[in-house]
Amino acid sequence: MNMIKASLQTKQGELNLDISFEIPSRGVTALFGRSGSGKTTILRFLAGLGKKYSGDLSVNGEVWEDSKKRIFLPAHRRAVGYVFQEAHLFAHLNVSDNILYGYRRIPQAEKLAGEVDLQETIDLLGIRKLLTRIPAQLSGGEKQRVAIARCLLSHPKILLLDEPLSSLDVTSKLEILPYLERIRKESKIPIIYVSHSIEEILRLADSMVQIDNGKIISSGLAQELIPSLKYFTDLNGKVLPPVVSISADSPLISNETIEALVSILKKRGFKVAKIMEEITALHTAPFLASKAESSGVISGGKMVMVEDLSASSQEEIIEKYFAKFDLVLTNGCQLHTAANIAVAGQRPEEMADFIQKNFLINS
Amino acid sequence: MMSLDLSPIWLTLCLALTTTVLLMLIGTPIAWWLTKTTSPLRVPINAIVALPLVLPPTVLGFYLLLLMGPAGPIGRMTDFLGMERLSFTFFGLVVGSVIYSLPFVVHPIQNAFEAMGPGPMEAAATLRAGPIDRFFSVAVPLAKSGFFTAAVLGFAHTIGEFGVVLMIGGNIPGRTRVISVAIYDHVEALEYQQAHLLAGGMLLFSFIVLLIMYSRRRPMRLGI
Repeated sequence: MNMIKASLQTKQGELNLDISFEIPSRGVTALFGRSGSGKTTILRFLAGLGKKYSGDLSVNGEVWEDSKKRIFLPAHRRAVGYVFQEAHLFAHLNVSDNILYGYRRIPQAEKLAGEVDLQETIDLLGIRKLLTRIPAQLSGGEKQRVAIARCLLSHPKILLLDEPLSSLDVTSKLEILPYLERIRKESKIPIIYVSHSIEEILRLADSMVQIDNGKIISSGLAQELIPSLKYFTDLNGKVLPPVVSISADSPLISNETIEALVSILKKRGFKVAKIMEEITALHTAPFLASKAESSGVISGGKMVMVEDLSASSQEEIIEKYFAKFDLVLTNGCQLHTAANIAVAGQRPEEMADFIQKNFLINS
Repeated sequence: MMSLDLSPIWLTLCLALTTTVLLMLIGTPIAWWLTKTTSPLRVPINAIVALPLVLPPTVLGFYLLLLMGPAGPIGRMTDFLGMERLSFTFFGLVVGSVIYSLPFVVHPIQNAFEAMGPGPMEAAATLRAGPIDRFFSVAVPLAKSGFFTAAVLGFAHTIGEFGVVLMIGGNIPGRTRVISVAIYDHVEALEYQQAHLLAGGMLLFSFIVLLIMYSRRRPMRLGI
């Protein structure tokens, strides 16, 4: 019975969430889907946070929630570790007291079993030097590392990570990913990782559940599922080109590298659109080069601003202006469901291979 | 030189202290409930708590006097229990002051709880802290500046009240004659020197209280 079994039916605004799934009790399972697809609601249901939902949940045979039998185990009795999008550190406590908050509340018997090692966890997340600081003195990445340590030290039975990197800049993301990989390696408990970043899932997930519009649309081993993912589909199910975000604003990837990557992909016969500025507003997909239509590649040269106030979503912009491309490359813009590729020190050829293998497989 | 009766000062301080302690005990759960609840009762309760902000104190005092009097329900209850009636007593003043200063205590605490957001409490819940545990280990310390403001405002506002006190307490030396009533009394009797001493003292006290309030460093940024 080493398994998490969950089923959940709830209505949230316009979203009708109706899902049931089983998750193995070890390894990382990614919940993948665009914003507003219901991923966070599922995590909150698993953690027992917020309202009582209609559904049931059992973990390793132990019933945590059963709305028909009116069973509801409150969050503090579930022993879930929850890493939120924001670190939510306790501002009145220093780092040391923050990470000990949950640890101090573990029942003595569990503590004596010796499965939680304070010193080891401090080193695992590299926060030894931060212990006497207060949260206001930490960077975004440091805060999140402290939050993860605090969570692990509460000796959870499941670890829930709700887009733990989404509020961080690229540099902090790169700083934290290796720690998450180590946790994945060393952890003996199931980890559920919510994300809309393909790259994070590629690096961390063993299995994945893809959710869209409140329904599960696929589930299985991550390596098998990722190549078939449809990154962008419009409401009619039409497949749009994947948007891959390369972090040119990070000091690790130079503009030359990106230029080289674009020309390699072009030589391989792909039509690549490159958006060189951040899409800040939903209505603005800027900078489509005048030459783009013939060459398929936009790089430098004369740029034309596309401003379309009638468009209601980024997907619509992509469909309207970029549908004829195989791939849209951006520099660090956070398009939802876009894959973020930001790997230190990769050569353009390797990046091109990576993109082709993972995003252009059906082309 | 005319002698100054100090008993109103001690009485006022005693009243303000008792009221503040009671208000913190009563106001905190009300503030917490108002922050957390989704009940439709939230709106009327909010309005009731805020009533003393807009009502003339005499109105409040008048109704309290009726309630505590021999024909009022509270009066009947105290009669039935063989207790002294609350009107024209110190405890009557305490009851009146608690009601009159309620919004000055509830609002700062409520604001501080709201500024905290649900995040820290949810984090604490997933870290195995039960509701009461996390209330005292997370919510209260994070709302510390709200509690401080509430206590100072509750105390100062009680010291400065006049209408409610006069209506339900009257002007009994040593029992219900607080500073503001004593000043009124002295002025009526054309004893300006005593009035000056008390009024000047109140002015200085109020100024110092506000100085302390504003000189505290800005509250910690919450929601980290």
